[in-house]
Amino acid sequence: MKKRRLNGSGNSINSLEASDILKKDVRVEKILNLLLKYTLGDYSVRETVSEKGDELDAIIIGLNTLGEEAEASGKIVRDFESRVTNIMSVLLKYTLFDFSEKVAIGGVGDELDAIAIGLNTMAEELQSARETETAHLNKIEDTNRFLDTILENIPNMVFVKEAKELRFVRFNKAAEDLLGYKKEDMIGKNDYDFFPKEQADFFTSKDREALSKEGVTDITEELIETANGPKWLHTKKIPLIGSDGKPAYLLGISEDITRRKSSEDKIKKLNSELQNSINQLESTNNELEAFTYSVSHDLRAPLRAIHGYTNIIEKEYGDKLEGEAKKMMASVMANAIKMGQLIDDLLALSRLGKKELQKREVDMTDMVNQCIDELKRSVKFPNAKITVEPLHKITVDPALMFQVFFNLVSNAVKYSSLKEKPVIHISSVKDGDEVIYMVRDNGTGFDMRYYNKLFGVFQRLHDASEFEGTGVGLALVKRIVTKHNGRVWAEGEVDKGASFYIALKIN
Amino acid sequence: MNPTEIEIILVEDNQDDAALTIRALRSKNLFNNILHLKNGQEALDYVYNGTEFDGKKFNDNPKVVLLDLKMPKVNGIEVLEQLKGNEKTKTIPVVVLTSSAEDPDIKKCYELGANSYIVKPVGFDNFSKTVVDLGMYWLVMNQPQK
Repeated sequence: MKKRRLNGSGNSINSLEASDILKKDVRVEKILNLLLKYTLGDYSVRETVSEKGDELDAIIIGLNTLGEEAEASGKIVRDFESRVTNIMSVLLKYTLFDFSEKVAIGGVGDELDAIAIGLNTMAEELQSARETETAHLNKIEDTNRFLDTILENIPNMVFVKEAKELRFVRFNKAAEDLLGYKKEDMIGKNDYDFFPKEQADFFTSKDREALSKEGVTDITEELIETANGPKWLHTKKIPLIGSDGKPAYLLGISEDITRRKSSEDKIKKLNSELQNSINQLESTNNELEAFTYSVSHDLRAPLRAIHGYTNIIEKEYGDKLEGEAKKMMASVMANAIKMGQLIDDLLALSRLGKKELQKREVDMTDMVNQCIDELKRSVKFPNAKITVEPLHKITVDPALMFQVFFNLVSNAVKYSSLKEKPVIHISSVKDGDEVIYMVRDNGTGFDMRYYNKLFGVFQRLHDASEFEGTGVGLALVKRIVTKHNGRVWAEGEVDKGASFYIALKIN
Repeated sequence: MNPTEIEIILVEDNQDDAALTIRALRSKNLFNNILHLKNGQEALDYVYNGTEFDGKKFNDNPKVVLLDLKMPKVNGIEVLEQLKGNEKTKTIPVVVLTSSAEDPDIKKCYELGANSYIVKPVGFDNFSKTVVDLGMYWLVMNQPQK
């Protein structure tokens, strides 16, 4: 076929001569073959040169050289293409932050190599920057997780709002539980989306107040309508300052004080009830006081009249009266005096209730001796033997305690007065944080069966004909001692004597 | 001294107390010029309004006013307040009489300028003695302010 085409295209005049030559030498065929391949772009083929060194060989050498050159230039183009492809593919990976592959350097030292080196350097730098960034991001993530864990586990409601529109940006578990709303529902919303306008207005005004100043804004009580009903909160609001020095966020911490509040309300109610009772008691007391005063005042006036007129009758008309009548006159007056005494005693007892104690340290030995001196002046004093041991000092109201010992010693004197040798002994003993004072006599004593009446008002264990008295003395003793937070008790035996004990706290 | 001039004014609503007081004072025959006024209103009328009692008009220098505290209408405290608060009458000695040492007004009386304070004893002997001593002191011993 090659032959035919060559023939077909050959010069018709020389065709016979040329074909003869060509037929004689195979090299012609080789040359044609080479040419054919080269025209098809295949420069890889070479032909051997004969030993003739003629024109045909020269042509073959020329063609071979041509083929070699052509082949070399084709390789350069292919190399170039593959290097560009390599650069492109690595670059693509870089854009996906994959810096694992490096661009191969051609070693040619041309512009492509320069680009490849540049890319590789850049990739290294990016890689290191990316590692740094990742580490940084991890750190931030760690910190966030750390803070979140703390926030989530704080038992109080914690929320954060951004400063501009006061929308929730953070919201912990306790807040969810308290308000009954989910975190996802709250984030991005503000108070007006959840709470009645009045309350939202209040919260917002407090938010603004907190953002406008430094430190904590303390809202000790605020009512909030939650999904779980109304609650009372104690809230602290704190501005969180941004990098520009202005408040960027508002931190809120709320404690649920609903239970405390309701207890407080209960206490308040109880207190007011108590106050009412106190007021009532006070007014009753005042009435009682007015009554007591009135009684003492108004009962004494008729007694004065009774005693006064009887006295005048006795003095001015005494000579007209019989002995019996005179006796009765005397009895009327004695009774009037006694009733006056009763009124005074009763009054002393009632006055004690409102009297404040005026305490100071008292030398009890001195005091008891004064009592005895006073007794000797005021009553017909029998020949009793009174012994006073040195007594412990104590801090009491001296005037009242004088009354106590005066009553006890005068009782002892009175109730032992029928004895041949009355003996009265006063002593004290320290017992723990108390001092116990004892007044003992060998007098008529009392029956322990009636002990429960001993310290009662107007209670008497002896006949008036036997021993005078109003029945107020020991009641007064008991009240004074009780007022000192002390204790009083007694032991007695009929005709063997009585012992009275007073235990007073040492301060 | 004008023998009809009132020396002692007794302001006392209790007739018995008044009678016993007057009797005690007269028993010494020293004090006969006693005027008894039955309550605080009478005392004020007598001293300030020129009202006559027992045909007597108020003169400027009674020796002493014996004033009961607990009286209807105008009580003793109010009378005392008027007497001691008035230029004309504040130098007149006023002795407050009361039935009870427990009287919550004792302190008030002294604050208002009462010159003395006497608890009327139940026993007539004591009562009588107290009243006489009182009269004796203010009428005889005391040197009135000129």
